[in-house]
Amino acid sequence: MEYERTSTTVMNAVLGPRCGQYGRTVERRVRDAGVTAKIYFMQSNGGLTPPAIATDRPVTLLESGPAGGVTAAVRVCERLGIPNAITGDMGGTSFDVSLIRDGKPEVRNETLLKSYTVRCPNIDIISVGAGGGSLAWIDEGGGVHVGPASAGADPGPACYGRGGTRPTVTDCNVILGHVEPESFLGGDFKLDVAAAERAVKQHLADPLGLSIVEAARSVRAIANALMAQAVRLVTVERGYDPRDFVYLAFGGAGPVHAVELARELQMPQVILPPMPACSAPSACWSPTCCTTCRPRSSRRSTSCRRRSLPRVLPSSKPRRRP
Amino acid sequence: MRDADVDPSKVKIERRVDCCYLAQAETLQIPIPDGAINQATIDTVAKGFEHEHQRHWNFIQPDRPVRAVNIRLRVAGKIGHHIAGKDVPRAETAPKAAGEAKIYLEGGFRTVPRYRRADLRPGDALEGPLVVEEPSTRLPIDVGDRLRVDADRNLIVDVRR
Repeated sequence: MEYERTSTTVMNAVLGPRCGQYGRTVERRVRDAGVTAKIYFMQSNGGLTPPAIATDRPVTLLESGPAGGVTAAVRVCERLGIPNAITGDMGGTSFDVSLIRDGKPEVRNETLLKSYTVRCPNIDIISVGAGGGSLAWIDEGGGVHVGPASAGADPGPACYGRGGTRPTVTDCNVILGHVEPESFLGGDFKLDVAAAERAVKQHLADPLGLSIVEAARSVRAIANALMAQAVRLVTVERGYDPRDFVYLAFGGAGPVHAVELARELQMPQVILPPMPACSAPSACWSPTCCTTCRPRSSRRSTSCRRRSLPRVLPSSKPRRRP
Repeated sequence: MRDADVDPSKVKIERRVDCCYLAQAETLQIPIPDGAINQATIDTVAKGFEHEHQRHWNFIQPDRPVRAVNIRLRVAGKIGHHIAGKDVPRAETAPKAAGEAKIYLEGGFRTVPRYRRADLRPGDALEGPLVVEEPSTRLPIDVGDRLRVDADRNLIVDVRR
């Protein structure tokens, strides 16, 4: 127990200055923008906390973005009278799964931050490297893999036309028509289908001797299998049967795989809340604003109901998660 | 809680206890029933532990004492409320497809109707195959899956077995 406590304290100290600065900047800019509402930070246990406490105890912010999603899912379940649900948040880099049982999220008491133990209550979320931007690749034996390496947002999938040349899950979804190149992000961002096909042809189809569509199908099948495995980790391996759970999908890529995944695991129902791509949907439903911070990967995501707000937050735009 | 203006009558206090069998390293979290703690509470927790142990590890040891390692208190108050938003009334009674989509579903490429989520209204019900799209994502639904829109505008899909 001494090791865990020391490790937690050290992690808190390491994160302190950076999170403290972030918290103060958020508060200042939000105030400067004339917002008078109270400001809260989302915590890893799914609850909110004022900035002063968050900056004192930054370890309570670890993975708070995904935790916010689960809290929002709990509220959806409450309103629908659903006691048991599995949440699946598929974004650009990962697929995060958690379990809601008897209307409550599963909470664990410690987590690992880059191999260091942090003891602090957090919503139990399993994360696998199967997001829209996860790269598909072939190993030396000819086996196809998805992730955990990701093309991220920059250069992003080949179809973004920003210099990415390696095939991602999103590229394969574009080829298979699961992502529509013309209406992506409401049509504001046209996807380059030819670039997606080139990437899949060069790195997958040609080496495997398959057609482009067949190669894309195999990547989608592998991504689905990875996601199904993550769901089994939170259910079957803990003595729960996925067939007793409803599947709540969110994240930009979540819905694109939702029904197929539910069918594979024999989950009877899929629910898609409004605005599923908002990374911490609970923030959208709250009259006060809240912001989330994911120090583990130095990524920050912010989201707010007020449209004007994201512009004033540090590293301003809410991350779009294709 | 006071600082966040949470209505005191809406504050929920939950108690949980981490339990294990004596000499066991792993604990399981068991809820403690509300109210004063007496013998009945302790019996309920012990029973809850056995039930959870059976589910998690698939065995119990009825003769072994159960140890309470940590007692946890969680004070939770809700702020905010769910905003479903308002819909602009729609002239048609049934949802109209915005176009078609070519998509690879079970068994190959198919051309299916494409609906915009913004055009859907509570109470709408549709049968797959179809796709629903919105600016940030897209939901493909295969043959035999049934879609409906609830009062909060959640999309609910009953998945074909």
